[in-house]
Amino acid sequence: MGSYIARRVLQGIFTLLATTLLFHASITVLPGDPVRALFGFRQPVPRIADAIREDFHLNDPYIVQYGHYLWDLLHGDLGNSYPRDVYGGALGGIPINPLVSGALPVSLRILLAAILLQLVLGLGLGMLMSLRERTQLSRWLYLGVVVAAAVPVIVSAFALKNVFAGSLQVLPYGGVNDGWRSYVMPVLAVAATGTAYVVLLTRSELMNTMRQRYIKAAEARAIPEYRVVGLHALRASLLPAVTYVSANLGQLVTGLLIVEGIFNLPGLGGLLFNAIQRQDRALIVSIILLVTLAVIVANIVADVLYAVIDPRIRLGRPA
Amino acid sequence: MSDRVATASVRTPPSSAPAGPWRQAWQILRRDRAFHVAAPILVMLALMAVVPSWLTTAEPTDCVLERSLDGPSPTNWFGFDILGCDYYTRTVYGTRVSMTVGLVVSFLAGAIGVVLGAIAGFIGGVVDSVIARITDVAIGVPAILAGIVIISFLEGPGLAQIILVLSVLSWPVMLRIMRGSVLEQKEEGYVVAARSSGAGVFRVLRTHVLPNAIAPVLIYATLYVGTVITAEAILSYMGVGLRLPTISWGLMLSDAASDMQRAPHLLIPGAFLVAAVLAFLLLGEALRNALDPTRR
Repeated sequence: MGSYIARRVLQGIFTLLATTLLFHASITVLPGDPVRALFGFRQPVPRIADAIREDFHLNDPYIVQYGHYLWDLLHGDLGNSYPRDVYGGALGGIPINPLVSGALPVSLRILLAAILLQLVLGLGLGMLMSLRERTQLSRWLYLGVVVAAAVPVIVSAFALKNVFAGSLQVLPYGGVNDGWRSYVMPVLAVAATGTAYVVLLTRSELMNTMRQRYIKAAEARAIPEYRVVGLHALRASLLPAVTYVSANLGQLVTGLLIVEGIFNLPGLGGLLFNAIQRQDRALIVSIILLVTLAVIVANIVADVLYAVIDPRIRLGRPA
Repeated sequence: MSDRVATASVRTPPSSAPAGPWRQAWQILRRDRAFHVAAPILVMLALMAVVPSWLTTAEPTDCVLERSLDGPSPTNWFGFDILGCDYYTRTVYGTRVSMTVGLVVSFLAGAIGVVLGAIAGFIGGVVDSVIARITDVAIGVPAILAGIVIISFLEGPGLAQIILVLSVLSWPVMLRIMRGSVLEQKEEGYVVAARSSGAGVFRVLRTHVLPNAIAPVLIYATLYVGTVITAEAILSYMGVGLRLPTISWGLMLSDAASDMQRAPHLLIPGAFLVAAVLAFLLLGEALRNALDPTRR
C-alpha cells in the first residue's frame, strides 16, 4: 500500500509541476511583450521599461523565470494584477492575494453545499428509485434524472433564474445581500448535473447489489428492508458515488466559476469574469491556477483515501 | 523477410472478420430504446448543421432593430434578440459551430488516444512506460480550466484554435481507456495465436487487436461530444471563446445574459444545447449496450 500511495503522490507532484509549467509557458512563450503591454497606447520610456524588465527577471533565461515563479508560488505569493485603464495601459500593480482571499469564502460555501447536496440528494433519490423500481413514480423520476444529467450548468443557472427570480420572484436575481436565499439557486445550479449522475450511479449500483447473495441471505433472515438497504447495500453504493463526485471536481469547479458569473457573486468566479473583461491576464491565470491546483490536490487526497479503504485499488484493479 | 512470407500465408478472408461483431452490434443498437430517442434528435441536429437554409427562409444577419427583444410569435417562433435578429434563424445557424467543435474535438482526441494507446499497450516496455507516465501526469489537468487560460492568451481565437486547444487537453482519458483495452485484448487467445503463427506486430494490431479494443474509446468519445459542446458554450460565455460574428449557441447565451431578465425566450438555444448533450449521452449508452458483450 505504501508504494501505491508514494507513486500516486509522486504522480500528483508531477501533475502540479506540469500544470504550473503549462500556465507559465502560456504567459511567457506566446507572442507579445508584457512590458510594452503595460504602457498600453502610451509611448514606453526606455529607462523605465528596462528597470521593469530587470525587476521582473525578464532578462533571465526561461527556466530561471519559471524557477522564480514557482518559488513565489510556493510562498503563497500570487504576484500583482494589472487591470487596464481606458488607454489600454496598466493601472499599476494590485496584489492578487487579498483579492483572492476575499473571494474564497463565497466560493467555498457554494462548493461545499453543492458537494453535500450531490451526495445526500443523489444517494437518497437513487435509493428510493432502486427500491421502488417498478412504480410509475420511479419511471418518471428516472426519465427526469436522465434529462437532468444532460443539462449543462450554464443552461440550468439561467433556467433557475428565469423561473425563481423572474416568474415566481421568490429568490434574488444575484448578489449576496439576501443571506441564505442568495445561495439557493447558485448551489442548485452547480450541483444539478452531478446530482443526476449520482442518482443514476446509485440506482444501477443498488439494483446490482440487491441481487447479490449476501443481501438475499439478509432478507431471508427476515431483517427489515430498511436495515438491509441501510446496512449492507448502501455501503456498497457509497464508494462509486464518492468516486464520481471527487473525479468530477474539475467540472464542478468549472461550473462554480460560471454560476458565480451568472449570479453576480463576489467569489472567485465573479473575480474571474471581471479579470477577463479587463484583460487582466495575471489575475486570470492566478485564479485558474489556484482552482486547478486545488482540484489536483483534492484528487490526490481522494485517491490515497480510496487505497486505504478499498484493497482492489491498491492491487491495480480500478473499482 | 521471413515475417513477410508468414503474413502472406495466414491471410484472413477480406473484411468479413470485423463485419460480424459490428453487424451484430447494429442489430442490437437498432432495437435500443435510448437509440430510438437519440436518433431523431441527431438527424434534426445534422440537418440544422449541414443545410440550415432548408429550415429557415431568413438570413441570420437580417436584423431589424425595431423588433429588438420581441417575444415569440406565430411567424417568428423563437422571437428576436437584442439586435432584432430572428432568433429561430440564428439558433439554426448556430448549430454548425457547436456540433463541429463537439465532433471534431472528440474525433481528434479519440484518434490521438487510439493511436498512442494502441502503441503503448501493444508494444509495452520502455515505450509504454514513457507514454503511460506522461498520461498519468496529463490526466490530472482539468481540461476546461486549462483551456480558459491558454485560449485567453491567444489573440482573437478562432474555431480552429479552440478545437486544437480542447483536443490537446482531452486525449489523456481516451489514451488510458485505449491502452487498458489493448492490454486486455493482447492476452486473448486469438491474438496469441496470430502472433505465434508469425503475423507481424502491426498486422496483428491492425487486423485483430484494434477492431476489438476500440469499442470502449468509441463509447467514451460519443459521450464526450456533449461535454465538448458544453465546453464551447462555457468558453464563449466566459468571453475567452469564439467572437462575433460567429454564431454558436454558447455565444448566443453569452450575448443574451444581460437581457435574459426582460426576455426569457433568449434561453431557447440552451434547450438545443440540452437536446444535443442528451442525444450524445443516449447514443453513448446505446453503443455501450450494443458493443459490450457482457451487457447482453
